Amino acid sequence: MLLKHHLFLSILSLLFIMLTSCKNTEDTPQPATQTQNLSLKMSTVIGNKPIDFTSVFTTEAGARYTLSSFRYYVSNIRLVKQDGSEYPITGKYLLVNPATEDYDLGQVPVGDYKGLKFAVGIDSVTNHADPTVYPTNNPLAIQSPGMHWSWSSGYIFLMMEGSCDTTNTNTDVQTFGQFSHPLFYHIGMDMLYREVNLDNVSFAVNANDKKTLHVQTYLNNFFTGIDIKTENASHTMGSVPLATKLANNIQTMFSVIQ
Amino acid sequence: MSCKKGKEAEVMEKANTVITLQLPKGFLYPDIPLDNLPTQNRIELGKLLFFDPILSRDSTISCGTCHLPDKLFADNLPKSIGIDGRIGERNAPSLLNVAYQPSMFWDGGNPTLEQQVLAPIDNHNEMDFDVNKVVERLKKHARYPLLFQKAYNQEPSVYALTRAIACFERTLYGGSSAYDEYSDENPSALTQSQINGMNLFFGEEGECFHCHTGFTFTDNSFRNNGLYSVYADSGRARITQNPSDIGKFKVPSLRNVEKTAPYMHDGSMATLEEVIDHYSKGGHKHPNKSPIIQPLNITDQEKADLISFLKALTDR
Repeated sequence: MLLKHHLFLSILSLLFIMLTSCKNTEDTPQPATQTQNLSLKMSTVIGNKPIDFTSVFTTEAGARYTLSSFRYYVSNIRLVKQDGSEYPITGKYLLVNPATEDYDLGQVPVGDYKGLKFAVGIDSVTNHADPTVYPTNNPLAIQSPGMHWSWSSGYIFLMMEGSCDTTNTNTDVQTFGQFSHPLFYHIGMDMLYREVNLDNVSFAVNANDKKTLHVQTYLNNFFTGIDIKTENASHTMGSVPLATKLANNIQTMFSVIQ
Repeated sequence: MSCKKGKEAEVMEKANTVITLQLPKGFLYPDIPLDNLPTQNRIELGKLLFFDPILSRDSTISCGTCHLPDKLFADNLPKSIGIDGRIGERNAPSLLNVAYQPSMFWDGGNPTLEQQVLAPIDNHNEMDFDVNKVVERLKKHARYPLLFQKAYNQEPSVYALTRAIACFERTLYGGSSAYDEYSDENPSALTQSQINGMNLFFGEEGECFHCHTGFTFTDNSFRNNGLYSVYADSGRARITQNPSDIGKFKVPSLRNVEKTAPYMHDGSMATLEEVIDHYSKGGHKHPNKSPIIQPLNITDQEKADLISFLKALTDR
């Protein structure tokens, strides 16, 4: 009994000593990487005019069209550091549309950068994951109007809708602001995921003020080599060659404006 | 320290307890996503939604419009009729035993029962609507918000809507046919003609069982059965973009086949006789045709026996 008592006490005191002698071994403090907020300003021009959903635009090939919708996913955003290494902004998916200019990317390390990389589209794992699990404010949630193909369970990477003048004489008359022929491109599928690499863009993220990078989309480049009088509709499946041409053009649409 | 529960609380708790699905004899327990295990509340909510035209743009079309309970959760049309009388692209299959399907649609383009719910809602020929607008309607509804709360502990959402309907669909089974009774060691459950047909079906001559196998009578594979030389609907290739998948469609279950005419992905065959003739001749030439599809050269009597056997797969 006494022995037990002793044992108990000694264990208790041992515990007490262990608990109180836990010193924080302080290493020499590492200076935490300074960060600052970065956002993208995304704007779209056609020729030198900002995109809108009321004007009649003309492709460089001379075909007239109007737009009613233009949206695309941007993901896998990376900042290229001076030494060529990349800082990935993980988990960011942007659904870019003309009505919204600013897209917050959160905190990034302060420093000098020499490039911006991103993808238009969604990586294959996320592309085929269940879209119903996201909260409604997440760009990957089911959108209205939709950016997801329920019949093949994948996202539409880029959607453009509008109307076009398919007459050889450019004399189609608009009704309610629309030409008689619909124009629509729904570009998706894993194989049409496209990387955009904007190099030779030097910019600095400073500790003392928020940074905004201005990325401009030149929509004329989207129509390079496309004759919208005949090539004016693609759901990707069923017209893969046209969708592929358009996806390849996506890579040439972007520039950083300093 | 005993908690005395009221009768009502007990009933409520019971409705939220995970239940064991009632399956036909000999059926394996299906895989169920862990976030959608069946409870009475979930199944009842799913059933209400399944039969509610609130899912469609003009509130005229429900899941039950094309998947009718008195027609084995199929319809008897070659292609179903949706909103504004629009005709769909393919034949509506029976939903019995759908819990065992590893992928949805004739082309397997959709991976889960839950995600499948999205497709008829936004399909132009079916409900022609927007699932987010369905959710808005449900949120404003007199009864649904409480039912969603009870079943999924949240307000109406795309997530809970798709889960509830899938949960109900996992309660639909068919496995009470004469053939099942025969398999359960009652030799008198089948006629001699049906037994002859069965031997042909499972034999190396008929070879039907290679694709129509197991207790669901399908291996769920995608195959080209030589229906056409040129396919208007490319089938599986639409999903994979692979030319070798042109004309491949999911092998359908043969359970209740007698009651689910017309046949094939496009409902192009009206009778079982037509189907058996097609296989007997070996189908049309196509580079992707399954090598199993060969001329059978079976007699009229054998054809009749085969059809008798297929009728023994009808639930009683």
